[in-house]
Amino acid sequence: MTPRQRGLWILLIAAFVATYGTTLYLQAGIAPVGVIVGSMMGGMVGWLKTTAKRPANPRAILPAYLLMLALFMVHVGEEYLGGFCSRLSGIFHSHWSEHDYVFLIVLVGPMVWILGGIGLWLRQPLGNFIVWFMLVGMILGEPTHVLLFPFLEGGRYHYFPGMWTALFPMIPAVYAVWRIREDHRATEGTPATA
Amino acid sequence: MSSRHSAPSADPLIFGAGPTAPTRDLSQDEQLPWVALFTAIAWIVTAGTAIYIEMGAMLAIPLAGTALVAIVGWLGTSFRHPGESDRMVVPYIGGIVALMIEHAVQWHSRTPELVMKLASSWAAPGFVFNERIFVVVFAIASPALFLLGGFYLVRRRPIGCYMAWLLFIWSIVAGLLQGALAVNRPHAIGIATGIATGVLPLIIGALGIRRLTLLSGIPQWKVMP
Repeated sequence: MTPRQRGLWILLIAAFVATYGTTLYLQAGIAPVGVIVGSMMGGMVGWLKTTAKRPANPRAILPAYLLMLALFMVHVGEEYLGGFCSRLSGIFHSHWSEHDYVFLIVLVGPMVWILGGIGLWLRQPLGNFIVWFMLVGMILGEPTHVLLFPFLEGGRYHYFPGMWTALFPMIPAVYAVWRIREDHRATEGTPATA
Repeated sequence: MSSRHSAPSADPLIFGAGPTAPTRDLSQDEQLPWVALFTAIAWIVTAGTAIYIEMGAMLAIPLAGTALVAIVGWLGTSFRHPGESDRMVVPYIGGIVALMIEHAVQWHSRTPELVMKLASSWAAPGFVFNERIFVVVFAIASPALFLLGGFYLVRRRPIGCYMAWLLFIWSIVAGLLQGALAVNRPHAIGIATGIATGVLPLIIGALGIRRLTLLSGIPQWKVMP
């Protein structure tokens, strides 16, 4: 990828981050935006340092990515059934309705993330960025269900919607990050073919 | 060592196995499709029965029927001839997204209410198909299941081939059902968006089945002289 192409992709991704982040902020408040936009920025750093230079090996990464998304959908199911959005709204005094949660987190978000799998398979830059964003999101964002939200609600440590299934998507995510970094180290210095 | 261990060909537990009958262990590659087949059948029977009892024929017939047709398609093609599953990955993932677009439109247009209005006599006693059940079953569990199938498909496992058949058959069924529901909507916009979102999975389903059939080498087209 030439520096000019990389710059254009960064601009496109920045527009994507701003659009998704603003929509989420207006609906859910600052907390989910912090987690998701933070993951997007972390994902961009990971992408620029590794798979922006040479796309990830799809045969190695796509199975882990699809498994991670499957486990994440199970987690979203637990959040939905447990009333995650109303509990989070209670903590951060926002007005995140169940309708908005279903639209953005259950329907539209996963469509983009799953399409990222096609981008990964086709060694496409945007797909590789989406994969990095999701990997960072699963590793940094999901533990908040266990380590942060129950404490923010106050009182005795207790169940928070999504808690039982939050850590499972991290397993394939950690494997995928490790594999991308290993592959990147192994091929660093050799000219990219894609 | 006892004779039981030293002469496996004479094992009386193998029907018709005389002292000279040849025995052969199935290799792992040969066993995996059968394990996948029996796993799929066990799931279909269990889930189909549970859905019929708890929700009624309204959901059990299309879901279990699709799963059974997919078994037939799979047995006739990629069960014995897996072909090149790599070429199925893009239509497979695209099919998941097409179904999610359809689900988003169905959720927005309150399809569960329409389904109950049209087919309440097919529901189990006391069962109400509402938005919550729709979101959990169709918007969350269905993509989760197909994503898991994608994991096996990319890893070239036999159950992945079955999941590809299931996804593409379901895409066609869901597209047709969406069209049938759309024509029962009161407004032109509802009819148009309903039909439009049903067409996409219909096309991907048809293309996917065609590709699955061609990649498995069946049918064998005869070239006439």
